[in-house]
Amino acid sequence: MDINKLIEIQLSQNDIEVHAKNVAALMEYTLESDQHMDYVIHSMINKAYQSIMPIGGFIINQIEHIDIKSGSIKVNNILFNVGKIIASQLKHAEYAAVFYATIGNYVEKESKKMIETGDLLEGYTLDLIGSEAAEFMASSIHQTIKLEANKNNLNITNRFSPGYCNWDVNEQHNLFSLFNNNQIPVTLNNSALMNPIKSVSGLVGIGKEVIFKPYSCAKCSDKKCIYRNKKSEKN
Amino acid sequence: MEDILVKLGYCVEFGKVDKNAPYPPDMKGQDGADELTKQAIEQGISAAVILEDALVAAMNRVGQKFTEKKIFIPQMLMSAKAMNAAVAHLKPFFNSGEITRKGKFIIATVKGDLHDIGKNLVKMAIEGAGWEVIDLGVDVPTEKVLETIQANPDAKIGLSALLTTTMGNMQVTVESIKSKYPSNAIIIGGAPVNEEFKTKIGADFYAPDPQSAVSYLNR
Repeated sequence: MDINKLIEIQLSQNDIEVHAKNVAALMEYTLESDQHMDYVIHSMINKAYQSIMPIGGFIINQIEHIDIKSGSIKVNNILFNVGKIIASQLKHAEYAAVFYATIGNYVEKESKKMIETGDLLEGYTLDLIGSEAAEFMASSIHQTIKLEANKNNLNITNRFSPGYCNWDVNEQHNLFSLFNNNQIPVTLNNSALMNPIKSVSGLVGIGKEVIFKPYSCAKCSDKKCIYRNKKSEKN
Repeated sequence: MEDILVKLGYCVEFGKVDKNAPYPPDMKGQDGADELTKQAIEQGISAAVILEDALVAAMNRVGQKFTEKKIFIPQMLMSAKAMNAAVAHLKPFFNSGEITRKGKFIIATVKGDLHDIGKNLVKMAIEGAGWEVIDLGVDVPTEKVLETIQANPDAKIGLSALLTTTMGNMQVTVESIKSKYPSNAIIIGGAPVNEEFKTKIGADFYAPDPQSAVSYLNR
């Protein structure tokens, strides 16, 4: 397994799968129930597909230490306070694949423009489609990490991102430092937020004994999340 | 007069923006909020009556239905669009002072948080209730909120956070506001916050949904 080497994957726009029925479900609709929504969702998917630039990458490092009690892990001499939920999911992991995935900034810019000019529904729909597309790209990277691990008879965990499961979003800076000096198309602002916005970052545990566990909405405090109980897992 | 206000309110409630708008399908080809507001003004109905009796009342119904989960975000957005089309005709009356806003409301998603849909829904509901809303956007540092309050000393404030990890930033912002402007009411909202957190950080009101924020402001 390549350690400390950035592996990047670029997909074509048509490789990204965003299904209208999933977008409709996030908006509490079924396409059959509303022709107008059907039209809006399909036209916004077409719009998104015109200019998204899906790209992502990952870099694998050895995990030096995992402490479930304190909710921390150490990679490349950097201590991450990932919280107890994530630390326990990473139990037995020998490596951490740090990843990023993005679709570029076209969707966020168009969505913002539409909302500012009064096309609120269209802008909101396009934003949701952008999030779905970025998650699809993240899933593709996750899948590639899995293949890489499986080649070496290793298993992977689910993926975890700063900002969720009590992992402080400020730790993005440390996470991104693991990309070393590699130029990646995602940057962080002072608040540790990613640019482009439609990006996903995080880490995946790799090891002989690790187990892939689906996301559990019951463990999450975000009771109003639109994804709650709509997806049992993200990959 | 009542008839046109009822129709106008219906258009806002069900998101009929103008005659050409395809939504809602059962109102295809009919006048929407745009045309009906213009007609109401031409008929001599006062702008204040149009605003309060038709538009604000309709947005109240929309907010209530959203709270009761009878409608969802898309319908609320269509209603807000219809409301905006109507309010565009009332702008000259706001400018002349014939009608006034109920007050100013500063809204922001706190530093470190990019989520804005909840903030935008609250903004729409509060604008729809007749308030002037100053939207500072997302990932807003405390200093920017304080500067805006300084420029608008009577404003009420709304802060949103969606991540458990940015609730701490909300606390910092609320404490800073309260130490400098103790009498400015602060409403907080967002998935991870609750009544207990509101009390802990010293905010004035926790709004679980947009309509409750409107009700609090209108008290």
